[in-house]
Amino acid sequence: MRDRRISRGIFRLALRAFPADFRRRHGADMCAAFEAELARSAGAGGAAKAAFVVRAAWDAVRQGWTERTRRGPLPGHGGDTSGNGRRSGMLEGIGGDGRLALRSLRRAPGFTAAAVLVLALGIGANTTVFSALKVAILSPPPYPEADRLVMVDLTQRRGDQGSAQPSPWSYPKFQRFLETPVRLVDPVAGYAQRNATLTEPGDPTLLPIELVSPGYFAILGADPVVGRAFGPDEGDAADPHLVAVLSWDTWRDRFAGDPGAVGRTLVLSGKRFEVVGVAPKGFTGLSGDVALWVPMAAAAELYSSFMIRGAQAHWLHAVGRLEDGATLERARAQMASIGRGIAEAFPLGGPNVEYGADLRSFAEVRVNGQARAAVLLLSVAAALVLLVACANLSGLLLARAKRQARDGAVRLAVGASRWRLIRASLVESALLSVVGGGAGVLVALWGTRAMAAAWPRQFLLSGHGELRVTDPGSLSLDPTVLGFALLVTAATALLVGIAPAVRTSRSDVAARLREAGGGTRRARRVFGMDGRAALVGAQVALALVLLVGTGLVGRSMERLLEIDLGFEPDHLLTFAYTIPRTDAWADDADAFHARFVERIAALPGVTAVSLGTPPLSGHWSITLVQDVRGHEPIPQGEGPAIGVHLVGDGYFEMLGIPLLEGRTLDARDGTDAHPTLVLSRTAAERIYPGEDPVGRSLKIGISADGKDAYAEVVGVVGDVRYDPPDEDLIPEAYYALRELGDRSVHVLVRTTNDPLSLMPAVRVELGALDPELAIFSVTTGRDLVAGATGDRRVVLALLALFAVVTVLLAATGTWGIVSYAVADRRRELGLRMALGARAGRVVVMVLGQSVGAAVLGLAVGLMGAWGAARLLATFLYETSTRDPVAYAGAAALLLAVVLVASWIPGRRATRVDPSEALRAE
Amino acid sequence: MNPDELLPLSPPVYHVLLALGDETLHGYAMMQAIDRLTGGAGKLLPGTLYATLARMVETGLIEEADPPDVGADARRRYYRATAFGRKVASAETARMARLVEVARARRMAPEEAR
Repeated sequence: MRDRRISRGIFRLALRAFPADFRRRHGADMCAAFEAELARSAGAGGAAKAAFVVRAAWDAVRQGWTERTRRGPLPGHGGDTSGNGRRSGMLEGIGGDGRLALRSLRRAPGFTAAAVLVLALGIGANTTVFSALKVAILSPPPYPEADRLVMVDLTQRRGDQGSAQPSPWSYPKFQRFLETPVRLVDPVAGYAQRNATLTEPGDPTLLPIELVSPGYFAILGADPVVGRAFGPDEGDAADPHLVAVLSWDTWRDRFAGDPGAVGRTLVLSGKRFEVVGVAPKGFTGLSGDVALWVPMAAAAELYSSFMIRGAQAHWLHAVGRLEDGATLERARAQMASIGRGIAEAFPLGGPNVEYGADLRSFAEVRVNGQARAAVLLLSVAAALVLLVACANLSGLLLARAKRQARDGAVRLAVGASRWRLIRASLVESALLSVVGGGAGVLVALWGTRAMAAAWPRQFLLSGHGELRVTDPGSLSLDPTVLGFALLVTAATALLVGIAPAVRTSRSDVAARLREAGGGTRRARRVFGMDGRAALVGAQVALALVLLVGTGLVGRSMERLLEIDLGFEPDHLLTFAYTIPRTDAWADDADAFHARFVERIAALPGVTAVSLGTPPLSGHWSITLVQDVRGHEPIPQGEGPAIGVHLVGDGYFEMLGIPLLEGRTLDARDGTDAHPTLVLSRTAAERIYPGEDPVGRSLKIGISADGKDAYAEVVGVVGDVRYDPPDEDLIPEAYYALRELGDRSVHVLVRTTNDPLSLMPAVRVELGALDPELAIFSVTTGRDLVAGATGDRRVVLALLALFAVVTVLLAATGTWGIVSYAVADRRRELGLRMALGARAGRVVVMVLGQSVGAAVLGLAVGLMGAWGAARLLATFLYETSTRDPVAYAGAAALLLAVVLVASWIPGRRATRVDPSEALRAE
Repeated sequence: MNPDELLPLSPPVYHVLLALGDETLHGYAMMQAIDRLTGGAGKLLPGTLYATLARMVETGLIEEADPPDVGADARRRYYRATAFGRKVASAETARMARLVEVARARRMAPEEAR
């Protein structure tokens, strides 16, 4: 008896899964059936009975739930059992919802367009930035077992500096290192990037090449796919083999991809090399963009024997693999003792320079701090844009849901379940997000292309220039990025779909149906604002954060651009060429340069020509001041650093560099055994404080055969920036080009028209003098300036773009909510005005809520910006993260925008005709 | 509606139609009949049965009917198959028969029972 009551109770409870009306109709029958069946199985034993009760109850719950959530045709239509039927029924239902959503979206083109645009901007921005994130930070090195790769460093510690800094190796030191018999890092290969002119086959072109040890390809898992790599005997400097391995692209371009290319010769900087292999497709060396490889031992043939003999010529990097089982720590300890051995063997660096050796893991080196910081910052900004887009879209959907509230009420009244309504809203939001996501991908496609083109050169290399770290060529939409776009789309659908869906389903059916034409019922309020106002407030806050960020970086940029670069950048063309050692003109380079300058000067549109280091392009050399006549002797290695430039006649005049004292260099200089030089203002102040340097002599680490070690100062000129503008100025010294001679020169041309339009004529002139020479590094003065600030420029441009987008979104959000408030409260406003309220008060009433939300948003945004500004610190130059102008300006601008966006629709409130409003339904 | 649009029928629906045949039954009787007809294989629990009945009423396969005079329990709801429902059941039977023919041709049918 009791068992039966309990069983009955359980089944009754399970029946509650069914909808109330169903229970009313069939509940009695079902209980009766249950009890009858229970009685029948009484004979089968207690276990069977219990099993039946459980099964029946479970079945009731399942079926009850199905009854609640769908009203479709037969359960299990399609030959399935009820369980599966529920699923296929739901899919069918979603398909129907989808078609419905499509129809209703088409009927509201304004809303749909706005929503898709908003989503496209948000998702597009995020996808673009995430592609950059992948390139700058997340992509793993393309070499097998890269976690076992290490950079093998020579280190130098200057007496006054704290820690030992990584430095390139010199060839003799590197050989000494390789002699260590048992190493924990094995194999090790050296590499260095250089340029060389390839003249055969094809047109003379200056190409980047790498000088490498034989084991280089094996270490990087890049064994040639055609032919072979360099053999161990080809790494011997005493008997250099002139062999070369081509890159895939070079093989394709210059040898037409012919497998017979192995064995053919090419002419590099006048020397014949035999092709022995072709590297795998996509392999461009550790320095990136390498066109072909030659053995390091061939450096003497291509460049100078000093590169092989000079223990103090530090030019090559080294990469290696940890032995199996060796740990980085143990290997580093071994390196330290090897380093001591090297320091003993090569003591000539100066008493103040201490050599050592160390290892860094590949992952540690393969970082470009600026790129990383920039991309992280932009990721945060893009995330903010997406949040604003979501908030804006939620507002749009909420408004739409309100308009459709009646529809929802009617559907509920005729029997649709609340779940169906929620599902329909979610499907509509998902559809919008998919379309918006698709549009966002298009935006990202364009964006990634633009970003790759504008990729600042400051983001390319690792900290000490050993490796190419980011490859903008690989910036593209790939499956991972696409996956991310879809993920963001799905998250947006959920975030955005929830608010309006929940709101719709909670509709009080009767109230909605009664609420014929805009009642006077107040919407639900949170913190004194309703949902839409809160969303607008959030958008304003986020927009302010971005605006402040833009303002800070903008102020910083302003200060950077104010820096006097020391030269006139407009209408300036610069390019370079090198006379190979084997060229006919090699021994008479000065004469060649003079002839060439003459011919260029004669071209139409040219106002001045000279030779010398272009500004913002680094130095010809940097050395130390060793002795100043008439001053205290300088201990070895402790003199100030000084940059050196070789310049042609008229260099200072054509660049607009002012002469401060003495004279500039002219035709007299460099013709005899007594070198002369010109100092920069910083050099004069640093080396001869309070004195007149003209006529004085000093010795710096540059000397030419047969000439005095000391050079006479003949003049002082204004400072010019050769390093990035935000770095400190160093002293500069200028020699006449003919003083020391150089087969490699940069040419500077002042033009009347667009500088680049002169290039074709330049190439003709150079070719006329010597067809074997190639021109490279073509750029203009303006581009030099832009390039110097390239990294900040990109960050500023993107931040500004994001800020504009979010401000526009916040403005339209404000506009929307105010328009809506006016429309929604027509009756109330009409009533109030009919009762005598002044127009002004009415407007204030309408605006009050939205402006209040915006002001709150401004306050929150200011606090947020205050905290988040720290992220920007690396990009700011002479600007505090608390810069008041940026904050005040941003807040004022945004406040003005919000007020205008509120005022224009708000004015319509005053135009409400009271009698009409009261009559309208 | 075309009977074919509802094919193939799910087992519960088909069994209900079979059990009803020409008769008018209430829920529990149908349960027992189905149990008997399918040899226990198609046994329906109350929840599934009544959900199925509700659906079948909506689709017009069965309809509520007056209880027969003999042995009727006045409190219970009784159902009988509609003409349409019988047509659908026939159509389903025909469909299965065709399949059995194909199965026989491919020697996938079990040995003929007596």
